[in-house]
Amino acid sequence: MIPAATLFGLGAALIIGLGLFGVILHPEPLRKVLAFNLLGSGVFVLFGVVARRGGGRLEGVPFGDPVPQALIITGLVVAFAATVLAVALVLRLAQADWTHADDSHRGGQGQVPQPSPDAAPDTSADLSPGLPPDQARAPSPRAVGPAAASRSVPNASPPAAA
Amino acid sequence: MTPTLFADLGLLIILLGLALLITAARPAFIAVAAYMAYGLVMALAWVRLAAVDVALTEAAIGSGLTGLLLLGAVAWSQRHTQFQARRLGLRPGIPRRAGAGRGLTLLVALACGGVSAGLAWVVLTLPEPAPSQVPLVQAALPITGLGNPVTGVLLVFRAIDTLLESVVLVFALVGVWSLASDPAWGGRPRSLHVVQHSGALVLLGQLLPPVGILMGLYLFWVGADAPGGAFQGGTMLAAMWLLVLSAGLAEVPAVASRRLRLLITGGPLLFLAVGFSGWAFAAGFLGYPPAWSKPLILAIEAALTLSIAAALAMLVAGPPERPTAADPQPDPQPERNQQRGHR
Repeated sequence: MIPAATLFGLGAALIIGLGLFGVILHPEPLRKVLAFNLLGSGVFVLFGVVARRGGGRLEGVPFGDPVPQALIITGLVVAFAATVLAVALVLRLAQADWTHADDSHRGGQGQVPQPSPDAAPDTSADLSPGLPPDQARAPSPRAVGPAAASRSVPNASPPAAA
Repeated sequence: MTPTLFADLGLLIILLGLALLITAARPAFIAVAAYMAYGLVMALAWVRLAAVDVALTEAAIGSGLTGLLLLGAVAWSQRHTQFQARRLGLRPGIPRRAGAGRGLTLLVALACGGVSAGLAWVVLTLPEPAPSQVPLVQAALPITGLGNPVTGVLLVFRAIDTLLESVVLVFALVGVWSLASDPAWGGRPRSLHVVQHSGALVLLGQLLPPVGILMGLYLFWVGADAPGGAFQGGTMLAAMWLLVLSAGLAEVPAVASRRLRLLITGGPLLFLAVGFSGWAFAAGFLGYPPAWSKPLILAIEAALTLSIAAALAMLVAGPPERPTAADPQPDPQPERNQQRGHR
């Protein structure tokens, strides 16, 4: 009969493989982060299997080795912190891609609480400090051309500013 | 087949099915929902691996907070993509990025299968009898006055790990906050902002926190002698705060708030102070004087619980932002909102 620890260890090996597959092949950054969490979860289970094997039974109640278990708890919290940072970076990157489009349309919606002009410099200027203001407003070089516009929205070149 | 083997196999099949869904599902929303379910089932698997402390952490952080964070991120990126597509006159909907070709997919699948096979071989050939730290922990635990060996490892034997981990949370928060744009700096995070507060959310936001806060404090207090501790209790408190914030019953604090910063750094700072005082009063850095070890550990855990709760909640809340047109507007005219929704 296979002990439970070995069974979960084999499952963890499969989960790690699936997570790795997702990390390498998923085109969406958020899905990559999700797959990376899956991969990490498999590694934690592998650790948990080692902890279970190092434990035993006390008055019929099974217990695990507390040292790997404490490390898993630390790992879960650190993995969460890293995930938050990764997600924040992904969202900020998307925002940066759209900033150019935002600038050329600003004021057209009428629903945005308008920041006062002197207190709110355009973020596009912050993102490309080396460029003069008119070039900083231009679409990024990799997004030039109609093919880029039809490929994905975040990279689309905005209509010419009026 | 014994009943326990049957249960383990069932858990494993559910876990693998959910893992497949997380990797293969097309809509990101379904993948995140599957990940939350995966975390909860994984908590059951941790109980089967005799790791109840880990099970509590997995359910709270792995499933709950990570799920909430990713759900928020998916909703944000879909909302913004559609909004930008509409105003630029492009076709609405989420652009799908080109995936890899069939040959490359097969190659990567083979490589990942190889990794899995290698790990499976390692699992099957783990040394017998298994190496264990249990005798060492059991011999040293009575000196600490603690009954839960995992808490003993976290706060005494490997206290340096826990200290650095609590600092990692603060650094992650610094990293997230520093992604704010210049004009938004010092302001309030807005990702928990919702258009219309549904009655159910407000009801839950009023009903659950008393129970949840009590449970969070209990988890912290009982952690000395039974499964639980600062991380599990702190996550519970963070979840309750996030519930109140997203139901609109309280305002998200501004990141420039001095009280908030003191709350977040208080736990790690107290831990560091006790650690350094170990040079004067005990064996060395992070040592406790034997007569004082239990009260000191409880004090550190109490401060850590509050700091962890505040840091986790603010991590999920994200960087401070200026209001943008793509955000849901707290619009006093409902018919205008509906028009926008149907266009």
